[in-house]
Amino acid sequence: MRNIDPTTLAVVRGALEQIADEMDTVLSTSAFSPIISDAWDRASGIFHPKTGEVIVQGRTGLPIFIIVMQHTVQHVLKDHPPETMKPGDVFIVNDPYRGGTHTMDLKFVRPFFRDGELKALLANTGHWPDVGSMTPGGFTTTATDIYQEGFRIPPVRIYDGGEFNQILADVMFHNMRVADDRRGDMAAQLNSLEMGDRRLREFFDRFDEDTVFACVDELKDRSERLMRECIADIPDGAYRFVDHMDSDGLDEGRLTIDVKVIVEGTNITFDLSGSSPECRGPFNSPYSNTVTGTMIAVKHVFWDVPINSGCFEPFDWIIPEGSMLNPREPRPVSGTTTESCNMIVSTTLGALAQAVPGRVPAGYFATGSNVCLGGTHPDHGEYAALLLIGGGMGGNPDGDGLNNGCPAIGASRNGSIEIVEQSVPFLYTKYGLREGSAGDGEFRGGLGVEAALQLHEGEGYLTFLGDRGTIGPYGLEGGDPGATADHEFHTGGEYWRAPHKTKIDRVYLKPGDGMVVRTPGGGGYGDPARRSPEARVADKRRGYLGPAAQAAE
Amino acid sequence: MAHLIGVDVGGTNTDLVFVDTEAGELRLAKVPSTPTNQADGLMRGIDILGVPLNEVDLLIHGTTVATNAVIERKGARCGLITTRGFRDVLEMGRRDRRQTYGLFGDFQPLIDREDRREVDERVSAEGDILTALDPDEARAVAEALAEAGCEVLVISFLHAYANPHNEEAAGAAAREVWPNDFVVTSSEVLPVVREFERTSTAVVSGYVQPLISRYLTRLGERLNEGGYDKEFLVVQLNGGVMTASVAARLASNTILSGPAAGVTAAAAIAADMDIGEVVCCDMGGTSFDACIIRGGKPLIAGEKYLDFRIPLSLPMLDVDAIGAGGGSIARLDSSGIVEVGPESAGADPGPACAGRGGTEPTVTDASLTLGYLDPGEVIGRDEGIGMDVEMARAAIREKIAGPLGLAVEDAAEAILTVTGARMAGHVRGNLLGKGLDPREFSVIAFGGAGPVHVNRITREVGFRSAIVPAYPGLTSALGCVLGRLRHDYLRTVNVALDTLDPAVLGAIFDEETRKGRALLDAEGVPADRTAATLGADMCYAGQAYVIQVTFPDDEALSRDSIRTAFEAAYRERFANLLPHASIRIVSTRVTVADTGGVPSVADFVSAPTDARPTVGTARTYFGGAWIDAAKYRRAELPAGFRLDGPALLTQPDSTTLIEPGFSATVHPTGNLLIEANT
Repeated sequence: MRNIDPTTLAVVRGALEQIADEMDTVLSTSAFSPIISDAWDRASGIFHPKTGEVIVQGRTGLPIFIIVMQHTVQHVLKDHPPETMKPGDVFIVNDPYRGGTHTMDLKFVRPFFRDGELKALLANTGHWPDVGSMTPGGFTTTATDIYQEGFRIPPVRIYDGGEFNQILADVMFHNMRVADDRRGDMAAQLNSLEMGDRRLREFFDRFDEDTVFACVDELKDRSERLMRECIADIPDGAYRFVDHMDSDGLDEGRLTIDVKVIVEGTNITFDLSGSSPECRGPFNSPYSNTVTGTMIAVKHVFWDVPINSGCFEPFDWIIPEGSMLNPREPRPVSGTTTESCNMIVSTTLGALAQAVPGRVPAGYFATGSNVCLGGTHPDHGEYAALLLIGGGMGGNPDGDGLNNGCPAIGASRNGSIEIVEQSVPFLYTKYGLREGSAGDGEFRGGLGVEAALQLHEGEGYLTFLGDRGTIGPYGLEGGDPGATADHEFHTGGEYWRAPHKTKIDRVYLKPGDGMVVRTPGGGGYGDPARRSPEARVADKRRGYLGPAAQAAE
Repeated sequence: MAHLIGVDVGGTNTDLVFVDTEAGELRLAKVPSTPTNQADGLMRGIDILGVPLNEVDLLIHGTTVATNAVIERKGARCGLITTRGFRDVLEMGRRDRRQTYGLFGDFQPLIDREDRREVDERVSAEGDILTALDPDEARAVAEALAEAGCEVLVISFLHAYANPHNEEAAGAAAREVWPNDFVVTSSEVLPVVREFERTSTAVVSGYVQPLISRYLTRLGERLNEGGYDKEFLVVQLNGGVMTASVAARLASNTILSGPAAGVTAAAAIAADMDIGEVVCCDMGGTSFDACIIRGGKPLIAGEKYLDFRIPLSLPMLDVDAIGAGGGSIARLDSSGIVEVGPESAGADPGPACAGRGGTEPTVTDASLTLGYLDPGEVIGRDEGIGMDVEMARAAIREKIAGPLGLAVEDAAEAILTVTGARMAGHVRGNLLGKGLDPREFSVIAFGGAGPVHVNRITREVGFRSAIVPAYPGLTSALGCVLGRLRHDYLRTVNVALDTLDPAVLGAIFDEETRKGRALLDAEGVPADRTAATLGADMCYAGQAYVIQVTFPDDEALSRDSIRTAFEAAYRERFANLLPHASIRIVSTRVTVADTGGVPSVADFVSAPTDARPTVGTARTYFGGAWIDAAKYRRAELPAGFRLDGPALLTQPDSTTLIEPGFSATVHPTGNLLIEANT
């Protein structure tokens, strides 16, 4: 142990966390993308100048970025070694194969210099509603390679020694829909980094540099130690859980997510080699995204281990290249976050439930159910919007699952219906709980969502990318699974379901056409026979059960 | 207006002040709060003040009845009528979870699903009526809800902010059959976009209305029996006050009224001392509430979550709270780092030193251990609360010092350092996040625990100076008598600045101003004593967050004057303007207030001029060693008196700590000004 007094350690940690939090706040309050500002689909952090390891990340950033950001920064460092960086540089990258997620997540990395020396890297990421892919919103369900998923940027300088790279910006924005708003999003991300730079400067004025780096090392060691203590409590052995996704949107046939958690002493190896090979459709999960998925699951179980690179140390991964969880360029990947990553988290949790019974809830809905709307309004011109729909969380030893929760990969909120209707020519006709969707159990799952919307004016395209249409979220300890997703489309007065159930690309809409989204409920926890009579009466009174069950009770 | 009583009911104590503005007299009382009926504690406090109620001209009340009802789910059974297809909006919230990590936790909304019904009607985002309301249907649904046992009816339709016609028609129909006056429509409470937040605000308003109404009526009767025959006033969350009869209707405006009164007092004290830029910090037993005051005016916020998935979106003082108070518990986190709060030992069992069974070390225990509190003079000692240093030390030794291998004093110092860093970090972040420089601000610290930590906060944040009011522990009660009658109006208009017709905007402002003046008139304020402040919530078209812009009152409204005001506010917040983006006015904001009739603190508080302070000594621990600090009784310090730290200033409601390297001067207003020695 280093000789750092506990007070300094606590104060340094708090001050660094606050800088990252403030970067998050500036980003979400000045962004144009409602997915960043309203839904908080963004993250900020401070990273080690040499290793690119995460020192601290904002506390309101999305879980999915807990390790992805570190990989992003490391890729930037690989292409641009520290000695080539200079004050006034800012790097931009959105390539899923360079430490990314999907192309819609734009990442910016800014080196922090003090006294002419590189001391840290500041970075943030934000989800842009469009980056110029085939489908407005980017979730092209039929994409067969990354080139169809929008403008792809390798790690390059958007600022070069303080000089703005106008050519790159012009070309980039020329290739995106509703480009003016995207300029605003870039301004917000750059502003946030500038604020972070200023704060970090003040921070180094207040604290001695050697002490700071000693604290950073100490915090890393402590996180690692703590993580190892948690793992040591788990009996050695292999814990396996297998789940499936509906299809890749192009070919028939389920995709397999196979997670084996191998515990040996204070180490864990995630062996994902039983999972499906890379697929033709956009459900491939780049390596960093896959690794993140397993770590999110761990963090949901051992939530009090502070996040920094130390808590990743005890883990190893076996993910063969060519697996859908470690695909090769140029496989398409847009479904990697909201669908594949959610399924990786959910499946890993299923395996951990055997390792640490009682600490893991039953399965949650595990699908982002992305509704992409795009088109041209007769009066207001071009639009592109992404709607995020919630679902049921799993029942757990403490109680029933939450209705309309946010998926475990996020902490993002959905937008307001009224704001959506102000910005796109669509009308919701329903936004409610999906009755009868909860998995039964001593503690039932939370209810999913039923949302119906239709085009009001003009013409438009609707793309839907989701999952969980064939297998509902799993129950635990005898609980039942939650209902599967069941989406319906309607055009010209005809109601129909998509061939791939939960995926369809660019349905052409005229006024009155639209869809009904029905997301999964959460799985139940414990034997339904043990559910208390009072709870059953309350479920019935509230109409949670659905017409059929309601009548049968 | 000569004899005033201010009452602030807090979680632990009920604080009362009596002021005679003509005779310059001030009396104070502090009694334990009575949660089951706050009026009991209040009446007992008035007894202790010893003022006959028939000699009191005005009583002003800050209450937590509404706040507690929401948090403890003790409000009325309400029914909700919504647009067909949207009855679950209240329960679904914004698709959030209770915490980022950990997937446990459930939620029960304020209105049960069985009491939420739907009717056919629809308005578009532009305010067009797509489906008309059938009043018969609304009436039938209301009847069914009344039949089911609902006491309050809330009606919230989609886009009612854009066109309230359907909602108003439903309200009118429902009122024909509703058995009482408790019918609330969302557009009357908050005509602002975002269905969940607007519905939640209307629901909170309805949920607390019967309770507040009954409480205020009963309190009025008891005051009346005691000889007080006038209307009393209630503090609002915007820092203003309103009459009790208005409060019974605008019940949700009484939420967070206690913290608001403290801010009002701080603003008045700063004004008396000619200081415009201050941050007020109220540190009590469980929380640390901070609010920024600029140019004498406290900042206004638009939304606060009262609990998970229960937002209240009304114009309110921007009081930001963190769980750091005297009772906050210190512990080691799982990686062995000292953390303080947000858990609090509360009033029961209280800090370890109180000797009532508390074994967790608290901030108060750390302060006592280091000699920063005078065990002889502390709040509530009349109620038998002890201040046992040995019990404080034992708790710190067992939970912190032992495991870390530190001396008890060093562990106590670590607790205070971490607490100070949290509070300071919070305040710094708040200022910097708004583009404000801490060095241009002073801090006013009050609440029972504020003066102990004020010096540390000043140092850590980098404030230019610190102020400790004359009666730090009763500042919120004092704030009650300083509040102005005031009403705020917010309304979504959603127009582009480029195509704005200033006359249309002017008409909206006129209408809102008229509403406010009519209400003030009903509250007895003469027309020539009211003033309106106009402003708007604005953003660049496409942004989801708005910033508050106040329009200059000496200039006619024009696109140019509005643009200038917006750009100034935007530049301050985000540094860089977006010259190519178009600007939107999302909502209008109008404040109508009484401009007169409020006493000045200087009318009844001032420092003695002929006092001769006696100096004692206290053993205090600073930077690793025990040293002697001068000890004064605050009440004995005359105006102009200057003293150097280390020093302890004791008084019944608080202890002020001056660190080495700082000095304090008694300002003629009776407040203490602390500055770093240069």
